[in-house]
Amino acid sequence: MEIDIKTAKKVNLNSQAITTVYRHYKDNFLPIGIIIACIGILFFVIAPQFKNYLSSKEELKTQTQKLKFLKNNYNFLLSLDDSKTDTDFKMLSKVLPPNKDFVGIMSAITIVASKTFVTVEDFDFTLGDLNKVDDNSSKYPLIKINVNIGGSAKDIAKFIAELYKTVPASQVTSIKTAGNVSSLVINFYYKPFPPQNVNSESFVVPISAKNQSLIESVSLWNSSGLDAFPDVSASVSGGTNPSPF
Amino acid sequence: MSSDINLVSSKTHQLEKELERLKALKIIAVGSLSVVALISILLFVITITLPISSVKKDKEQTLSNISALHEKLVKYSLINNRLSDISGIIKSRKNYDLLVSTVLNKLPADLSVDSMTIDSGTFTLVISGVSLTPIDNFIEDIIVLGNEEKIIKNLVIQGLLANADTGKYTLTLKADTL
Repeated sequence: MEIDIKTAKKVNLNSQAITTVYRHYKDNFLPIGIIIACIGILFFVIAPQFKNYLSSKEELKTQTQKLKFLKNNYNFLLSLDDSKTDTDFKMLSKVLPPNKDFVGIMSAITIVASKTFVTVEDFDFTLGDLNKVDDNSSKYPLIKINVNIGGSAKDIAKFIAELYKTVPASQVTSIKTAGNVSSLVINFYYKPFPPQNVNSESFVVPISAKNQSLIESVSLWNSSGLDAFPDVSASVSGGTNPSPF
Repeated sequence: MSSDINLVSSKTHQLEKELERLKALKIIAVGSLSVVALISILLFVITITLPISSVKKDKEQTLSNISALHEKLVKYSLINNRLSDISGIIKSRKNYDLLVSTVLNKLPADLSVDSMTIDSGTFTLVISGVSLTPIDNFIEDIIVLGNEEKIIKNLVIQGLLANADTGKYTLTLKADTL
């Protein structure tokens, strides 16, 4: 029996009918199967691979940018003048010492007094524990000094101006002048070096022009001498090494 | 003789159509297969040619080079750190020297400073002299200074005393520092 599937209105799905349909369409099965398999491969294999390719491309872009950034850092570090970096570091560490630099403070007062022709009568200050940073409410730890200075009010102005150009960094917070004697309260600042967990991948910020001019300006400040820095630190810290390296 | 005789039966026509459909299906199947194969090969090739590993290797090498310069890096970072702190201190400190010298430069020669106090942002000056004219001149100058609000502001004359015994006038001024 042969069934015309085009004209048949009602087909009984018995094994004979299925066999007939199979025989009729068997040549179509392979290409249709291939097309379906291709669509499957496209969606389940190629699409994820393409997604993977895009993410790899994105990673390559990120890695290339990082590499470029690191190479810039490396070239920048290579181009730095070792001796200048060293001198700047020592000088800035004298301007803002890492610890309670009482020798520096005494030197500063002496240098400024002799430069401005005033007499230092008496002074008092408390350093506390030399290895401990004082818990001040101010942003920078400081040592407060009360000093009596012999000289006119104009001399005191000169003294302060000169003190502001002398290491370590200081600030006069109070002036009381009566006759030819003035009582000054001076804050001398210090700040311990921060923990040295500098990441090699972190961006090396070049010193700005403003900070470069600050370096030049503070390098002209009165100082008892840059070479004194390691000795001063050693004596103040009771033998501990203030070097962050 | 009739020319309308149809020699091709409808069955043959249908068979031809089915053969054409089968041919089309085969072409589509081969085309799909070729496209999938081509995309797969292309994708494979461009994925393996992405130089991620070489860039990573280069990065590791650069990092190791930077590690060799670690001390320099730390020193440089400390310099930047110190500069920012020093700049903050310099910016925040009061220029009392400028205040004192500016005010004293306005002081006429025949007046003297009895006392001067600068504390907690308040400036107090006590001056004295034997004549009222220089005191008046000084007050005028210092008022200009107060109005400019560059060094001092909120200027107040706290008192002008005349001492009959010494024949001296004493002026007390108070202002807020800037």
